[in-house]
Amino acid sequence: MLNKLVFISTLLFATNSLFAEYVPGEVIVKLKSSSSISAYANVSEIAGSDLKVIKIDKDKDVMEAVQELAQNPDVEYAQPNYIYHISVVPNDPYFAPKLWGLKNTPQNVPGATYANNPGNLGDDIDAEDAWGIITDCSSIIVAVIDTGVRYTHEDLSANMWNGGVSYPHHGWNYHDSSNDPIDDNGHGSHVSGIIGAQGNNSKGVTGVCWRVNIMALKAFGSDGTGSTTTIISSIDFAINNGANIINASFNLYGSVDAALSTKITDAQKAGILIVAAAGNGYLNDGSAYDVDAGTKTYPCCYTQDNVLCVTALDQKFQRATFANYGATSVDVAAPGTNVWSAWNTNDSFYKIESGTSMATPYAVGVAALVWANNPGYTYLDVKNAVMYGGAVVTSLADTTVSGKVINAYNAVNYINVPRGLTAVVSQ
Amino acid sequence: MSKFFRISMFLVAVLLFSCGGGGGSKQVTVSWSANKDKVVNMTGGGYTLYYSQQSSFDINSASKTDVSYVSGSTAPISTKLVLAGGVWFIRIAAYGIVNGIKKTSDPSEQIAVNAGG
Repeated sequence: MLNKLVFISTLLFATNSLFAEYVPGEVIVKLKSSSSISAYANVSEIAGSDLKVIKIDKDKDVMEAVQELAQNPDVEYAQPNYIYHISVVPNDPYFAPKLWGLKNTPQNVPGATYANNPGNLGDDIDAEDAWGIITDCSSIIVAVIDTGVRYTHEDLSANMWNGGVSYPHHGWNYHDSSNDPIDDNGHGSHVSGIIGAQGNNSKGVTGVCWRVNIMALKAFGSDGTGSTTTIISSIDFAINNGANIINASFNLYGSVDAALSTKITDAQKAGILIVAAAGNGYLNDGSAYDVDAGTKTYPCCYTQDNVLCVTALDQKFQRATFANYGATSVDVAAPGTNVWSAWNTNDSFYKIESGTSMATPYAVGVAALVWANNPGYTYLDVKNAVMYGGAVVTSLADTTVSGKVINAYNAVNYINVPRGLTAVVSQ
Repeated sequence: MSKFFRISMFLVAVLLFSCGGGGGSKQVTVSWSANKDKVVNMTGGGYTLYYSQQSSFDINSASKTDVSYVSGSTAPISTKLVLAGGVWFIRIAAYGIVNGIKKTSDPSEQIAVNAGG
């Protein structure tokens, strides 16, 4: 029995050590009354307690030291000096009850149209932890190529790109050939709100970024259709006006559009990351399929390395039934069902939507956080941080390149794998 | 021991030395591109080089050299290793202090270098 207890205790101990972070080189101990810890040279008191901090060799494993000290007859207990993080909670009223992708409590999302509601506790992108590090992406310009943006919306107006006198409405309308990219559909406003609805403004929702510059590029009409010409003109505008990231929540099925591919290469040369939706079945019919084996969707399946393709997960981190996948084409997953965000009906209107169109701006928001936190990054550094700084979801192993769902906290803290290693015999 | 045998042994030793074999070592300059991660290029950051004569080696059982940040805008992006003759495989990882703990990147793909011999 004792052996079993010891075994169980060890398992729990090991499990804890997988998740908790602690200060290297330090162990906290509580001594038994009238005991001392003279064997250790570097011991200090913790103010306001009867505990002591023992400094150990920084290269020594803290957990090993804890176990050694716990066996010391003078020690009542020993533990690591755990690291806590502030979690920043915005005051936007829809944050807690509706935005499961940012924090899954698991709330019952009102107005849900997709299953698995409520979902699982913690199946989210760890936005609160990331916001403890950074909320402000105002150094980043995100071009939203879509149906336009309701730039007067209460949650979007403060975060629109400033185009100066040349572009007084924060972008351009290539669908109607005007300087006014106002949204006449709603899709583009919804996408924009997920990326960067103003955070902590006591209104509606919050974006992944609380502050950002949304460049509105209207390439699609009220019926949700656009063309090669409107899209490549929009990308060209983004290139010429300093965009860092392009949100591409749209698809072309089957045909390789050479003109669009060339323009994506131009964006690559300009250092722009393009985040694209994997698509919702074929022609948005809602029956997901493998884009590697079946009809490809573009720009998701373009092979330029500045394209990041995103599929959608539900509130239980299961791939949504409509969300296309592909082990070599679809890079990563993000929340994409029952997503509340801004809509174009009026300046205080919000709506719930599902689709890889909604997953894509989550990834864009995380990319913007990462880039703002590491201004020296290239698009490839950002892409790697978003892809490989995610959290493993077993079911994504064979359906995405990374096998991961985006995670804002991990991505912001990601360290890139060094590149360009060479060796020369010099003597 | 005959004079002839002693001279022969001396010549063999000279030959081995001149060929770099039998334990002769080479200096190898290893370089890489600078990481852009903030934490790599500040106090507590840097790179770890791992090297082994086994291809596809496990970094946990390989020799390693630390190249830590000293000053300026980036951590060093080259170092010199003294390697015994033969083919060596090298990988590199970046590290930095994140929220008070040392965090290390995944290791790079390995490269090979022939140190002679």
